[in-house]
Formats: sequence, structure tokens, C-alpha cells
Amino acid sequence: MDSALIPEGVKRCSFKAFCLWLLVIFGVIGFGIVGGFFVLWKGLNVTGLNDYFGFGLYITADLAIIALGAGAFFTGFLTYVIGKKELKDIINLAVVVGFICYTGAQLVLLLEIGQPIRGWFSFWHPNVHSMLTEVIFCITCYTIVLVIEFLPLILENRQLDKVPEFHYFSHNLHEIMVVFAATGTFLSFFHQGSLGGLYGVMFARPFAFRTGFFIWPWTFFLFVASAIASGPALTILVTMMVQGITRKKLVRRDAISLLAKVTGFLLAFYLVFKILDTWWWATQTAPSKGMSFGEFFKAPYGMWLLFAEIVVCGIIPAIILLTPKARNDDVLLIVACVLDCAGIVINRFVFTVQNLALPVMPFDHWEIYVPTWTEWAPTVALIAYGALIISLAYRYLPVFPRERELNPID
Amino acid sequence: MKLDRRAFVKLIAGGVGGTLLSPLPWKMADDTAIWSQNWFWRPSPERGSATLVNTACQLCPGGCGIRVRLIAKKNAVRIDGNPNHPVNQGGICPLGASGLQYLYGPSRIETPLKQTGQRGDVTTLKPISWDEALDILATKLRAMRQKARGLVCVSGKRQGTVPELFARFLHAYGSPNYVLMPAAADAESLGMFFSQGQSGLPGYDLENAKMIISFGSSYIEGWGAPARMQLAFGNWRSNTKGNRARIVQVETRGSLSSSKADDWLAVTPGTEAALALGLAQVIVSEGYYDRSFVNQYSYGFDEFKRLLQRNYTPEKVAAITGVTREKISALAREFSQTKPAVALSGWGQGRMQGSVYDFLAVQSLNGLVGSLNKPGGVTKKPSVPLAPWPEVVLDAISLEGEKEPRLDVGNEVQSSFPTSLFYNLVKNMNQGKPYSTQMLWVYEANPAHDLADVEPFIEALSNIETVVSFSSFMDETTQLADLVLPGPTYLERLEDVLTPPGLQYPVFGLSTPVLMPRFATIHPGDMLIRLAKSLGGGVASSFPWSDYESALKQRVEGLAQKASGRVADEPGVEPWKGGQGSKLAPNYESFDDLWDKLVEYGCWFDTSGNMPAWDSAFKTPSGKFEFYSQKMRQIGIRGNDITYLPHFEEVEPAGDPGDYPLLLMPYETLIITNGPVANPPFMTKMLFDFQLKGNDCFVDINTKTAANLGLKEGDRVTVQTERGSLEVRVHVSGNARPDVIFIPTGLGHSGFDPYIKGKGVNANAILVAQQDKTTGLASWWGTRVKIYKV
Amino acid sequence: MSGNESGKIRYGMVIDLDKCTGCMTCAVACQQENNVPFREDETKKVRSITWLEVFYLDNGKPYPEHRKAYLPRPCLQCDADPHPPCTFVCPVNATQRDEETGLVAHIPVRCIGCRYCISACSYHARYFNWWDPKWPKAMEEMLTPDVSTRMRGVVEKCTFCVHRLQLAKDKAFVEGRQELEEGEYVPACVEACPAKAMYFGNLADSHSEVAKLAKSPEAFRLLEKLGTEPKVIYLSSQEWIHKLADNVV
Repeated sequence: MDSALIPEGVKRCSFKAFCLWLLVIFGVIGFGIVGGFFVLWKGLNVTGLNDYFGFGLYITADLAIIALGAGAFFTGFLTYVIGKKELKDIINLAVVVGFICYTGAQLVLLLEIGQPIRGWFSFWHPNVHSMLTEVIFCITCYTIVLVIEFLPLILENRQLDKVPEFHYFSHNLHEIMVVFAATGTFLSFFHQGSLGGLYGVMFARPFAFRTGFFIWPWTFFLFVASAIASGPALTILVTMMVQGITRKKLVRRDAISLLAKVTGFLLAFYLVFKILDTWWWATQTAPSKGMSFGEFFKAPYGMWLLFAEIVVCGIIPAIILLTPKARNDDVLLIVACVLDCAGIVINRFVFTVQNLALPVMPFDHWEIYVPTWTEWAPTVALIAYGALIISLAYRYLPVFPRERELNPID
Repeated sequence: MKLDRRAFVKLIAGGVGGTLLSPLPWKMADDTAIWSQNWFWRPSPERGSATLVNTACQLCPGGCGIRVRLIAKKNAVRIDGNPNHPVNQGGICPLGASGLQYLYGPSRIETPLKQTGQRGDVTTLKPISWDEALDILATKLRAMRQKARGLVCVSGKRQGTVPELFARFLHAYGSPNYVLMPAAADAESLGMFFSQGQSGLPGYDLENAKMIISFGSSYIEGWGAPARMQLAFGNWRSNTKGNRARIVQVETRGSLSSSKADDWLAVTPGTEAALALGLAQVIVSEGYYDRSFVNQYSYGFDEFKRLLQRNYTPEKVAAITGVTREKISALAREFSQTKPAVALSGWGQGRMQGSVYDFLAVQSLNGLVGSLNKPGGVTKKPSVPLAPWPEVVLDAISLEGEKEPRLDVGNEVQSSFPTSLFYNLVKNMNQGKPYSTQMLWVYEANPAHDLADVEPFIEALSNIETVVSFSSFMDETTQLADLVLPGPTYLERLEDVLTPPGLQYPVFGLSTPVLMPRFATIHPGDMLIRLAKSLGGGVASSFPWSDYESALKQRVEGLAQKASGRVADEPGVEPWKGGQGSKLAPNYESFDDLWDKLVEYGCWFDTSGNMPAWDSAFKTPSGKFEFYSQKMRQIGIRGNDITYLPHFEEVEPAGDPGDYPLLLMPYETLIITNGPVANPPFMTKMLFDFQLKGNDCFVDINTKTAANLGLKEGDRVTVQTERGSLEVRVHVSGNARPDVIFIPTGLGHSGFDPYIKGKGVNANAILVAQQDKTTGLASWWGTRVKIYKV
Repeated sequence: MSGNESGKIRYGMVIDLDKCTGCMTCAVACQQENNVPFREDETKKVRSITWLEVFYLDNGKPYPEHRKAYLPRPCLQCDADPHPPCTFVCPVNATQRDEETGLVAHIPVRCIGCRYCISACSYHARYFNWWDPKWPKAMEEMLTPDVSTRMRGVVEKCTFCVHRLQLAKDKAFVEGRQELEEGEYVPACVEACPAKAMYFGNLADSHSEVAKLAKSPEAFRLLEKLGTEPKVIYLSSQEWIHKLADNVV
């Protein structure tokens, strides 16, 4: 039925099956929209947030997906700026994933702020001292970049490409893509950093506060490093997932392996500094604020989180990814990527939630944060939203340039 | 169309640039920014010029001067303390600061109401006109005039012209049953009567004291005049002035009064008086007592001394109170050697009557250290020199009424007591003996909630034909009324506010209407005058005034005639420094001048001559302070020698220790008011979440006791006494004594507004008030209890 | 203020915990002065707006050695250089420290409700409007026009009653004065305190009462080690209270 829209020379499932799949996705998204609507209508009182937990699931999700969305800029950087041509296989998908992550994050951000209609005030009344201003500016600009990066792919749709204006426009964009890739890298680097800075500058919050370099706390650099160490992992995961679901080989294995290797190096690099940072934080920064490291951890936000973040979801995947034999094994590769991504989610969670659970005043108390369904629903819908975009892109756009070559139709 | 790269860039750049150069996007953005800042459904307070109006607070007897900030002369937006007022000096208590929430509160009663259905059903309390309401009342009063004694009036307000008008009305009508809500003042007044031969209340010169021992008084949590006590406490703690006083708290519970004292003696429940006698024993036996006072101005010292030596040696008192011998001796020495030093009595906030002997024990201790009738000590609270009203005109019925037995009198000797005995009234109303009650008036009181051991009172109402409430709010008693005659709130009415409890100098505060009454309410004073006139005869003649204002003015004439005292027209007065015996030159010239100034500044006070001369200080048979009370003997109290001396009477809390192994003690805090009004939203908001959580209130339980009972913080439990049970949650705390459960009073309202209704439980419902057989005074500091998980 | 050699103004507060009786009048006066909304159920403390919050402190000992104290906490108006923890994080300039006075202001109508400032403040001095404020109709008449009511979705906090400073300045201007006398500008909590346990004035003026009290050996600030430089100073003679003022490693 929609065969006219499907790229030439590739095979797709039946329209009926596709519609069924979309129905499932729309179900989840619908649930998210209902949740989001509730928040907008009733206000944030329907969430589990409070004056202790100014930030909660929304921010954790935002930070995590933005970090994971770093696959887009970093793959772009490797492909266009460094010139790793083999990654052209995967760059389109990386861009789509990035697009999903950033647009999704902005949608959730709209729910997260108490006055959504004033959301744009950070452009109108910007405070240059705020890390959040930097984040908002960079994220917005970078989203625009991602749209621009995504646009040629959309225009390459079989029917759209027939329109000459679109064709030329797309062609022109392709020509200057290296500019956008570089811009994207620059913007991304800064806002990933600023997201870390967001926490590191909280000098009245001993859990989050870090010393740093010039105006940038160490978290600034750690967040950049952790983002580029996990973003590509998500790109790999999504690729593997799409390959699994379509039961097709869409990307050459060496492209995946290259990305996995780079990820492994980056993760190891990040971990060295993360461990150093943790050590410095535990022995120097925390005591300087009057607190001992042990005071930072209390059930349910116990020391297990730190162990999970650094060892289980850090060292273990790094070893896997750095071992050629292991990373060439699909199962181990997936395990490593999942752990890598989970580690980053934990990292963003502890900075967001555990940081705020901690009583700083000695006569204060621990609080526990329990998100409500109105927070879960949009968060889960975010994943469904990703699935939707990827499904649509895969079906109607030439996301994988090698697909035809790797899966010849008899 | 062919689009090359140049054209492409030009198009984009030109389009963007052109739009940005036009003012359109900027103007639109700015307008949108402004628009998005509006939120039209949030209230926008009315603007207007601000004025400050001085008046007096009447939410408790504390007698503070307040200032109300008015916007556009009609919206009251803030209450703060009047800096000129000697009592609170610009400070205020949380209740006083919340006053506007009563004025504008949702539980205000707007019109007279008549119960048209079942009593207690609020939905059938229907609005009626004032004419109809007063007509109903007058008709009933006319009909029952022959049985005039059947009219009972309960007043929560103990002094002032309006309570006096109520008393006067009953007197003229022919009923002896004008009864005050219970309070420590009942025991104090009786104690003053026994030991000093005159009714009256103690006034403490706290500001000049260097050491204070409080025997169970919540001295910073509502005892006496709350704001004055806070001010005094601040002065005691003042480093800069070099007069840091020493405070010792004798109390079972780790209250704020305990924690904020220099020394806290955590005594066995109910044994404060024993400790006072223990201190007296050491002071006497070691010879530290004030010989000049004892020799010249006291009677019965030898008998008292013998009793002390026999029963209150440090060993014995240590066994009773749990305070060590060494501590008792050391404290006694310190107390007798620090000058001036004063001991306070009156349990908690002073809502419990307590034992007259407790008061006498503490007062005797004051006597021994020479603090009676001395600066920095305790004296009789001076009265305000108001002019008297003409005598009540008695007709045949009211002459008869004077001879009727009071319903609050339980035995022969009590009829000569200068005090109300509320629990006798409850008992007698319930039994209809010696005669039945036809009509009950309730003024400035909410006994259906605030009375400890409340159930018998509510039961008694079923025997009464008509219950009339004069309340401005839908309180629990008003819910049970047949006729509601709402008065204006204190911010809408004229009234006098006399010297608060425990103050050492006279104060006359004038409460003036700061704004027009919000509803068609009638001042109770005017109501009574109107009612009296409609009844005719002696009753009408007893109320010769055209309105309440002229009745009040008639009394205020007395101030104008006195050549001493001043209107508080400037800040920074320190009345406790007033020259002893010297006159304070008035700052007004005539009555009219005085009245105008009272209306403007809200307060008159006098600092001179507040310590009575020694020859007129005591009106006892001996003319002295009597450790051994001849007065008691005179009025026919029978007993052995101990009966007439201050002594400690051990009270066994109600309940079988086998069934009820623990002790339940109520406590009061300043942040939960104990009526007659319910807690305002401002204050309820400040309760900790281990005091109130959702609709659950908490009882404090000792850490070890909780562990023994297997209870954890926040557990839901039932506390059960022989009166009944309540469901609460537990707060495990080091404030609580082992085996004692502490429950706050003032919560558990079923009336008022949604901001307080249904929050917590009413502790009064399960307390047992135990009456002393001789005096009829009741105590409820402890009731045996069991506690178990829900 | 007069007598200040440097000409600098740093408004600050001293709270004497020895004198404080825990009556909570300050907190009530604050609610009244600033149109702080209230709801039927305010027992969920993490969502209850109390510009001036009263904390419960105890020495942790068993009965009868147990001692408690209440600690009133307005916004501490941090004087950290160059920014307090909360202002520089705001993306929309809705909160700033006025360097003329040292007062940390928050403009609710500018606020977008991102709650970054709430997260940055370790004293829990900032509150979010989880609901639209609502008063019983009649109680709207007791709202003061000096402080506008807020809307849901924005942050609010103690301002040291900055509108009172404006009123005092206006009055001085009318009387032809440039400077305010000590005591002319005082927040509602300080004015209401019945025990006179709260002091207010210019900390930068060494002659002011607050500056003198701040030098007392009994003075301390909350969480000194964080480097937030609060302009609210507490006094206490109790060692256990001093211990609760900061974390000790």
C-alpha cells in the first residue's frame, strides 16, 4: 500500500504488520501524552517531585538520553571530521538516534518546568553565569543542527527526492555537512560539559560539588567523556536491535567493531578520570565541605550504586570492548553496550536524585524519591517515540546506505 | 528552477536577516513575555493607603496590645504587636499574629441560627433574623422566670465588663449560676483566699527576678500571659544587659520549657509540689529562710516546720519525686540565696485547676525565701481601678435567686469559695440535682471540645432544654446549640481587656473595632442590654444603659479619676522598673481625653504602688500570711493539722494499673491553641510532621518504652483509658519519660473549617478529671492508659 | 545606614537561640506579611511553603538528658563571592543578589520553574509552588498589596521583606534623608519576635548591633564549611547546638 514510499531495492514488512507495530507504539506514546497532559493541566503536584527533589525522573531521563544521544555528534565527528569512512554505514542511524534523544529531551523538559509557557525566557532573559543557560542554548542549537543533519536523509525519500527543489536542497546540505558536523561537535561538547557543570558548580551541595579547571568543574569534563563513552554504545545497540528485528545485516561488522573499539577506549579513558575524581572527591572535596564519604550513601541510595556504576557498568564493559575477541562476539558486545549505557544512566541518576536526597544540614534527614506514573509515562513514551522515529525512518528512508548491497533482493 | 549554492545561502540569510531587522519579532516576543507572566486567576490584593490601628488582642487572656494594618481603611492585612504596649512591647504570639484568619475565616457565623431539626445536626441550623432570635430567647426567659435558677451561663472569659454583664444579667434575672470554665486560676484564687485571706490571683514580678523555679508551669509555652512571658524570657537570657537569670524547670515532660531552662528536673508525674516542700524543708532546716518575713508577716511557721521535718526531708522527697537528695539540697540553697528569686505554680498553660495544696506549697516556698510581696517576687495581682456600676436592682425573684444553691457547689464549705467549680456543675447538670437546668448559655468558651473529660458535659446537654451559644465561630459547642447569637469578632468590637494572668501591675487594654463588622452580628453587651430591657422589671432596671459603650465608659471613669497611671503613648516603657510607691503622672486631663487616647493607643497602665503595704497585704484572721490556714478552719473545712498546712497529696491516676499499665499525660504547646477558637491555618502549617501527619496526630513515647512495646516511629496505635480510646501514631522521643505517653491537646476538632476539622484527636475525650473531695477542684494531669498497635 | 565607614550595606540577621522560645511567631508573621499560601493539608513538609522554616534540633540523648531547640531559618541571604549558590544557576535571571544591599531577591513572574535553585540550596530555603495558591474567598481580603501573590509552577523564598526596605526608603526620601536609621527597615519576623531574640541590621556597619553580636564567641553560621557565607548568624551558649551547625568529618 505504501510501497511507493519505500526506498527502491529493499524489502520491508507488510503494511498491515507495520501498522500493527505502530499501533503498539502509539499506545505507549498515548499513555505518555496522557501523563504529560496531566502534568500540564494539574501542575507538577501530580509528580513525585518536591522541594527536596527539585529534579527527579524527568531530569534523570533527560540527562541520560542526552548523554546517550552523544553518539550522533561523536560518530559524525569521527566520520566527517576525522574521516573514518567506514562509519558512513552507521552515521545516518547515529543522526536519527541523536535527533530522537534531543527532541525527546526537549519535550520532556517542557513538562519538567513549572511554567512551560515561559520556557523560552532563557533566550529572552538569559543569565550568562548559569550552566543551565549554556545547556539550553547548546541543546536548542544542536537540535537545529540535528534537524539539518536529518533533513537530507528525509529528503532522500523516494517521493520527496522527485521534487527537484528538495533534491537540490538536499544535495547542497550534503555538501556542507562537514560544517554542521563540526558545529555539532562543538555544541555537543559544550552542553554535555555544561550538564556536568550544572551539578559540579553546586557548591552548597557536597555530593555534587567538584573543584575544577578555570570556570569548569571536573564534572564538566567527566560528563563529556562519559557521554562520548556511552553515546556510541547506544548507536551500536540500536543498530544491533534493528538488525535483530529485521533479521538483516544492515551495517558491515567492521564498522560496528570500529565503533565498539573506540567506545572501549573512551570508556577506559573516562573511567580512569572518574575513578580519580571519585578518589579526590572522597578524600578531599567532601571533607572540605565537612562531610565524610560514607555519609553520602544511605539506603536505598547505598554504596551499591557506586559499585554498580564504576565496576559493573564501567570496568566490565570497558574490558569487553577493549578485548577484540569479546567485542567481535555479538552477545558480549550487546552486554557491554547495555552495561555501558546503564552505567551512564546510574551516573546521571546519582547526580540528580541521590545528590538531593542527602541531608546537608546535620539536623536534616534523608528523603526518598518515588516517581509517579505521570513521570514514568512520558519517560517510557520517550522510548516509544524513539522506536517510532526509527521505524518510520527505516521503512521510508535510506538509513542504511549498505542495506541494498548487503541484502540483495533476488 | 535551478538553485545554486550561492542563491541558497542568500535566500536563507536574506529571509532571516529581514525578519530580524523588523521590529515585529521583538515586539511580539516582549508582549508574549509579559503576557506569560500574568496568571489572571490568582488573587490580586487590593491597593490603597495603609493605616495602623491600635487595639487589644482577645484571643487569649494574655492582654497584648496589637496593631492592625488596614489597606484603604477596610482590608485588615496584618496584625503585629503594639510597641507601646507594656505587656508585649511590640512582640506577639503566633495566635495573635494569626488573628485575621479568624476575622476572615470560613467558620464565621454570619447570622443568628436556630436549630430546626435534631440538636447537633449542623445542616438544620437555619439562619433567622435578629428580631426573631432575640424574641425566641426573651420569650423563653420570660416563661422560665419563675424557675430563674434553671438558667446557667458558662463563660470562658474570666474578667472584663462583658463577662460582668453576663454575671449581672443572671444576678438580676435570679440565677446564681454564672460559672467560669475551669483554670488554674480557680486553685490560685482559692489558695490566695486560704493563705492570704482574700480572693485574687498572684502577680509575679518576673522581670526583676534573678532565679525562677517553675513547678510544672509551661512558662514559655502559654502559661500566664504568653507574649509577656516570651519577653521576660528574652530578658532573662539577655547577655548584653548582664542580667542573665537562672531558670529551673520542674516538669515530667521534656518540653521546650524544660529544654530552655538552665536546669530541668524531670520529676515523677504529679509530684511537683512535693519537690517544692522538699526545698522548703532544706531551707527551713538549714536556716536559709527569710527571718524577717517569717517572724513579722507569717503565721503558723512552727506547724509548717514540724510538718516539713516530719514528711519532706530530702530522703523522703527524693523517693517521691525521683530527684536526688543532693540536687534537692543544692537547689534549695541556691534558691534561698539568690535574690530575688521566685517560684511559679500552675500546671502547663494553666488550664487545669489542680490542687490548692500545690499552689500553697509553692506560695509557701516563695514566702520562706522572702519573695512574697516583694520586687522580683510574687504579690497579689493589682486590680484595675474601674468605677463600679450601680447596684443590681433585685426583684422578688432575683432576691430568691440569691439564696438558691449554686449548681457548681458540691458541699457546704464550697459555697463560701470565691471560685467556680466547673466539674460540680457538670455533675449536677447531669443528675438534675439539686435542681434541673433549663437553659445553658455559653460565652467565649467551647466546653464541648476544650473541657478535659468532656463526655459527661456533652451528656449533660441532653437534659437541658435550650442551649444558647454566643460564639462567632462554628465550634463544637455551637454545633450542639439550639440558638446561636453570634457576636462580632474581637477586631470588630469594643471591649475592655484587663490585666492578664500573672502580671504585677494593672493594665487596661481597650479593644476597638478596627473595621466595620463583616456580618450582621450584635455585640453580646448590647444583646444583653436589649434582652434585659425586653424582660422589663428589675432586670431592665439593672441595665440602665442605652448601649454597651456607655456601660463601659461608666467603668472607665474610674481610671480618669485616679491620679496615677498613663496611656501607653510611647514605646520602650519598662513598667517593672516603675518606682515603687511613687505615682505615675497621668498623661491625660479628663475622661474624654483619656477615652480618646485609649481609642488611639489602646492601653492604660500603672506602675506605682503595685506592692501593697504590709499592713494591708493579708486579710487573714492573723493579718499575716498563713502557712497554717485559719481561714480554712473558719469556713468549716474539717480535718487534721495537715489539712490546714501546705502538703503533698498523692493522687492515684484513674484506671487499674493492671489493665492500664502506662500513664497518659496531656501537654499543651503554643503552636496548638486550646480554644475557645480552633487552630488557625498559619499555625497548623507550622506543626512538625511528627506532631501531625495528614489527619493523624502523634503521641510522644519514650525510646525504651517503645522498644519494649515493639513500637516504631510512626506506628499507628490505639491509646485507651477507662474513658475511651483514640487512634493516633507514635513519635519515639527522648522528651518522653519511660512508661508515660504524652498527648497534645487542642486538636481533634469536629467543628470549624476544613483547615482544622478532623485533624488529630481530641485528647480531652479520654482524660479522666479527678475531683478533690473537699475543694471540688479537678486535676487531669495523668490518666492510666494502655497502648497497642492498630 | 549611618556610621558605616565603608559605605557598604550588607543586611543581615542575628538569631539568638538562647532567647528563642520556639513559639514560631516569626513563621506566622512571615506567612502573613508575604501572602504565603496555605492548604488544607500542610503536613507533607517537602511540599509546604514556609519562607521561614523552623527546624527541630535535639541533642540525641535519652530522657532526661534530652534537650531540644527550635531553629528558625529564613533565607540565609548567602554572601558568597561572587554568587550565592542559588542565583548564578538561574537560567533566566529570576533571582539575583542586589549588591547594594546584599539581599537575594527572587522574581516569581520571571521564574520558569526549573527548580535548579531549589536543588542548589542546601538550606532548603527555596520553595516551589506545587499548586496554584488559593484562599477562601473572604481571606483574599487579608492579602497584603505589598507582596504579589504567586502562581503555580514558580519558586519563591524569603526576601528579608525587601518591600519593607522600599517602604522605608520611600519614607526617608519624603523626609529628605539619604540614609536609613538602624531599625527603620526590619523584616516581619524580627519585628514580631516576642522574646526579642532576632536582630536585624547592616552587618557591614561595625557599629550596628548585628555586627557586634556577630562577633560574639557564641555566634555561628549554618554549614560554614560550604563557603556560602550566610548573612544569618545564630547565637547559642549550648555546645550541642554549635555541633549541629556544621558537619564534622
